Amino acid sequence: MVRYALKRLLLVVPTLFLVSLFVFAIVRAIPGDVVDMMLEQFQYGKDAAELRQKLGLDRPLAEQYLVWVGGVLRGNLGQSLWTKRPALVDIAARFPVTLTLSLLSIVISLLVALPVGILAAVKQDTSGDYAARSFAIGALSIPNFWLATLIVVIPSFYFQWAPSIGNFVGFREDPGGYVAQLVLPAICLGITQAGVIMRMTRGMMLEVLRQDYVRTAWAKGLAGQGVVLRHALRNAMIPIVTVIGGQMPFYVGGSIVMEHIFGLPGMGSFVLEAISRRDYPVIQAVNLFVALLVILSNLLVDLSYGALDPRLRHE
Amino acid sequence: MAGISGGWIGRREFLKVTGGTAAALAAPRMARAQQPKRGGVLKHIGLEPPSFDIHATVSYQTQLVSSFVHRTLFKFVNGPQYNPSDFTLVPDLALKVEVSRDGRQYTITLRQGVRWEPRPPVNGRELVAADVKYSLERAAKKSGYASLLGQLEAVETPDKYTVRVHLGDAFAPFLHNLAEPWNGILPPEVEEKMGDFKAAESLIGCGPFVLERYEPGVKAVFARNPNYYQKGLPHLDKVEWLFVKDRSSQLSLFRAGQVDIPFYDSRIPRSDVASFKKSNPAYPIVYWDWLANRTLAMRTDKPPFSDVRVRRALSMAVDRKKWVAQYLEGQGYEDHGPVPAPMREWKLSAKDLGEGAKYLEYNPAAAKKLLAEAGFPNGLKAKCTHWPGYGPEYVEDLELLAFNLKQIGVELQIVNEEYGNYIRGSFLGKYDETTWGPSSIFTEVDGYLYNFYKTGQPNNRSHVSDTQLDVMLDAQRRYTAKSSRKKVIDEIQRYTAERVYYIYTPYPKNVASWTPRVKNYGPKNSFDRGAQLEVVWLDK
Repeated sequence: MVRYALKRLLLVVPTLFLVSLFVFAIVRAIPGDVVDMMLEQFQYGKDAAELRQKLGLDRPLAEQYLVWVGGVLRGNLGQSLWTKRPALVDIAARFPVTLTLSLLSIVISLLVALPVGILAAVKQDTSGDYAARSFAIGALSIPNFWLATLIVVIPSFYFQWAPSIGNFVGFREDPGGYVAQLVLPAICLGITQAGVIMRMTRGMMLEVLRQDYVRTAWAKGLAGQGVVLRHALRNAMIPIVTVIGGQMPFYVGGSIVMEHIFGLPGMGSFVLEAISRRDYPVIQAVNLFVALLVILSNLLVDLSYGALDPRLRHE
Repeated sequence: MAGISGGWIGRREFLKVTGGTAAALAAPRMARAQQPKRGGVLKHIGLEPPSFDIHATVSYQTQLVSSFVHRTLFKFVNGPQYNPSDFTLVPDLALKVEVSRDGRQYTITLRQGVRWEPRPPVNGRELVAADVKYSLERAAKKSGYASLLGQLEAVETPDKYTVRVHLGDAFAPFLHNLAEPWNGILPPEVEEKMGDFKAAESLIGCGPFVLERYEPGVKAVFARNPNYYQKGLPHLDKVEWLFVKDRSSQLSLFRAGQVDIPFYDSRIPRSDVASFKKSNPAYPIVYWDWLANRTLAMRTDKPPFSDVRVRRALSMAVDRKKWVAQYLEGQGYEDHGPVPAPMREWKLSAKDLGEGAKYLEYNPAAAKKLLAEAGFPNGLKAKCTHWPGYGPEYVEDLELLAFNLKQIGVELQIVNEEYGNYIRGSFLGKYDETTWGPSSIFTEVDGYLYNFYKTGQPNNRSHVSDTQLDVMLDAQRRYTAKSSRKKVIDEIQRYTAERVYYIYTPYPKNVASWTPRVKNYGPKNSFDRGAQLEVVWLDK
């Protein structure tokens, strides 16, 4: 197991190298040059060549890449071209918000999707099953930004009430308030995923419930709840966990919209701002960080297979 | 010089700023008459600045935020009793100014006893002439607005409270521009200790508020400066400047009473007025004059728009009366350029434009005739670049303009651009045929003339190159006596009306609203939010 984990961790290195190359190139392919923007839109300087030199953007691309990668290897993800703040400082300040929002969304989608999916499978082709499937299709069809806008706009119009936006409180300041302010955006973000997971749970449960060992368990007279939760669900969980693990980019992407609407200072709004300002080092840093996160979450998913199914434990 | 009527000086006069002083004192007196209440936290939708250094960027977001903390030598009058475009100067850090006969030397006497914030590196020391010298020289060296200080040759400090500025040539907008937030007075120690003013920690000043807290992506909290030189002000304990970016969220918070002012300039969308009246009937709804222009700029340096007949035809195809009456429901101006209509003391009415007045009139038959004479009897097609991100209202305006032009056979082929490309390209005159969009906002009339028409200026989007006009544009900058300057500006308006270098589309009034507990507030065509809010109080 440890050997397998180490092997997987080693594979992270070439993956991150490829990601870093891709991110470095794609960021510079965005139309619009940061120096032009600084000069013409904000007038950060007076001479383009001088500013380019000052920012280190006059060097050959290969050299710029090597300088950046060298910094990354030393733990320096680069600093903003605009604010001069180290990207890592901003990531450290903003990542917890996005992480909490993502985790809360996952919890909410699981809390909704698992029971509904299991019930739909157990009560296949009943009105409850149809209702659950309709819910899943509905959840998949509703864009989360639309749902979020409705949640913000409608109560304010009819009841002069709005969710608390713009009054962000940090975890240390007020842990309860910190989580509470993330519940609504997490619901909006989690509801679409609930649809996906619910459909997956139902499908997998139907498959597993038809297996011989489940039939044997029923035949031996085991309690229904025990058969479903202990024997069937555990085996059905592997693909479900895979789906959840693979959704990390979705949560980060979705958080951009949620953070915008609910005024949350997370990674999403941070990277959006960086893209609009062509702040190359920040975009690179965030992308690399998210890539690392996705790789690690996939590794965690792989390792969790062993916990769910002893046959899959890595020797 | 827009609106500097009360405190205006001629070159042979000393500015005692008496008119201005009276106006400054009048505001608190009015507030007292309404028994202002002290205290409370004003929640204001704001904008996050890209930097806190007023000289490192021309961003208005930076000016808005810095104005809470940094003060200028002069400021504009503020409060609901003044027109939003009333730019009468009143003393701020300066007490009076004396101008030489040739308009090239300004001797400014500073207010005594003004203190910087009581924290390092300034530790509450007194603001002195050396600070003003440092700030003016830094602005001239680093600011993107440096040209708006004229030809700044030298700044002397004969004593602790006197600053003498020498200009290479007379520059009429000089005093007005000293009141702009990008001319805030900065303490040199901050740059010495911190390297620059870009970080929030460097926002140290002597204004009505101090920066209590800055949370990136969330808000900036400004608290009353207990050492502010103007005793009794500000009335508010704090202003929370919230960086809520989503417009729907901003308006929902406002409807719910969670914020007092729904945008940085209290604007609400015109299309939402009816629903606000229904959902929040107690909220005031105010239509107010907004500066800036919306123009169709054309490449006048090459065919077909180098032919004045084509430009005149385009102008005569726009039914401005109907535009304002029907589309803007009467809340706007037919003739908004080159001098914006709210700049009443400079604006020449259509009837005084002479020959050029007829090109503002809707006359499609004459327009078609002109096009035919110019060699386009079947009309013409022209690409028109545009950034749709300005919002639906702007997109509708452009569609309406295109519809008007279509009636005479001119087809605008609208090309939507990405913001970065637009702002660095079309906005600065880099386009092929035509471009449409709003202008920047200037509080001084010179901004709408010199920037738009002077040969080689980056904002001269129509590529105007007219020697006669250049002479007049330079002249209006030199005449420091208002009456003389007005004559030149009148002539510029007549001249440009005939030549139609830009098509100015009708301009809507802005709609503003705020919660009923906000008192003594009035919309203002300025980014000096600190001066605007120092007189505001909350009826708790």
